[in-house]
Amino acid sequence: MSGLIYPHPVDFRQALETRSVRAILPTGMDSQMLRQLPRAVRERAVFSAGVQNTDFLTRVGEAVDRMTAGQTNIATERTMLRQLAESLELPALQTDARLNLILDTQTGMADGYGAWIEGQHPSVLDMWPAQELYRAEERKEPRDWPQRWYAAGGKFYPGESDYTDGRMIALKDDDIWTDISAFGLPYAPFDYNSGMDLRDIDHDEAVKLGIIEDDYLPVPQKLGLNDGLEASIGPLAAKFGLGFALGDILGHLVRIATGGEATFQ
Amino acid sequence: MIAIELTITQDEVSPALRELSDGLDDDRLLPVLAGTVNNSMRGHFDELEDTRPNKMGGSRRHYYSGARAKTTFTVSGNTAFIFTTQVGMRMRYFGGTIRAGAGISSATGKPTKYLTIPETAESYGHRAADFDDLEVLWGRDGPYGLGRVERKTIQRGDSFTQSNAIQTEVLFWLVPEVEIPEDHTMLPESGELNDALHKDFGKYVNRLWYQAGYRMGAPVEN
Repeated sequence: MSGLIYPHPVDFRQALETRSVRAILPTGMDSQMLRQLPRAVRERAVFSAGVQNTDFLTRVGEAVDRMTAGQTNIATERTMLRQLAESLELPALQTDARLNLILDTQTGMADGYGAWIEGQHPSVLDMWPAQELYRAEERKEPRDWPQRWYAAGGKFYPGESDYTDGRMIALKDDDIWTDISAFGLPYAPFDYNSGMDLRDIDHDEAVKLGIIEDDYLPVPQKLGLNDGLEASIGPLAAKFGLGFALGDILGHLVRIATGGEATFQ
Repeated sequence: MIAIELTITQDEVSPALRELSDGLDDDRLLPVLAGTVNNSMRGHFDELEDTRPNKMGGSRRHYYSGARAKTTFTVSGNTAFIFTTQVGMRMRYFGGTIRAGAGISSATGKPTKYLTIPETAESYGHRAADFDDLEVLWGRDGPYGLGRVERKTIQRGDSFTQSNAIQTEVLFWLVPEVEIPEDHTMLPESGELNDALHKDFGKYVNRLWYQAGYRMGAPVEN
């Protein structure tokens, strides 16, 4: 048992590596517009709806790094960010709710990405090829996740569940994960302050539930992070008419080619 | 004497055994075993999340759910590390003494002299610096807390007023150190982990055996 406990913290390497390639992305876009950003941009950027102050976002990025590494807690970081927001005269960023939302979402994404990475190891993926969406934290006004699941074409399975519709389970490589995500990402969190998370479903149970055949061999996936540092923002620009304005928002962090390809610098 | 002659015309066993053996290499087996412990720990933290709400009744910070989300593993060589980066887990598990002085006081800019222990649902999950209406509460032996003080001003003569505290609400206690008792229920019991490891190891070997047979074109019954 004691072998599981280490006297010194071990870095959450993958997640930190994720964060280390992230850039600060000041944006005046609201949550809905942020969701339309290409995945590669969303994965690499620290942003928050309506926040255009780079000093503040830089400090958010540093705070999330410290929290992800287990060096500090949210109360400490929230207090420092509030004091910064006061000094920068950013009243909208001085409330507990807003600061919690920013810090929880950003650290949640780092945690979620780390969990996703470890789940893509071939042996691990073969043992646990599916996952279940479940309520990990209570909420006063929970979203209707079964409805979202159903609308995305998800199937419900029998067994113990918080929901009368049944258990929300799918293969890890199923498109439903990006479909239900407000951020278009295949890992938790799937929405702001959702309280939902994922747990592994092993091969035997997946077979028993009829999700896979016994001879199913999963293929590990890769995300945009591993596919180079390019992302097309063409469709986004067209959809929102942002054009070069988006280039202004992204500022010096990206170079945007005429075809809409964004290269991170 | 009975002699049995065995002639192998096509060796279908050796490739399967090689497949099995390869599957037991550290780089393939350890992530599975680490995944097992990881899942057990996450499941345990889910149980704690359900059964241990904060005692003060304030808005929950979902500490154990956070611990679950921050529990992960990594494999290096022949060792798997399962760890959580949730702040405070180690102290809660082993117990120990937390002393003031590690942090910097937001009020003085100097190393802290006291820890602030929340007393109310309102102060739970917050730092004292989050409140701008707190006063230091003094007792005979020095400061003992931070709180709100309601005062009544009494006129004493023409040019002298006296302000008396008529109600005090303590939000934080000030203490130089705090003892945290060890709590080994923070993690699953070793027997529980061993059971999970044995079970999943068996499943993993079955999978290897099945796949070895499957790849040779002769699926193995299991």
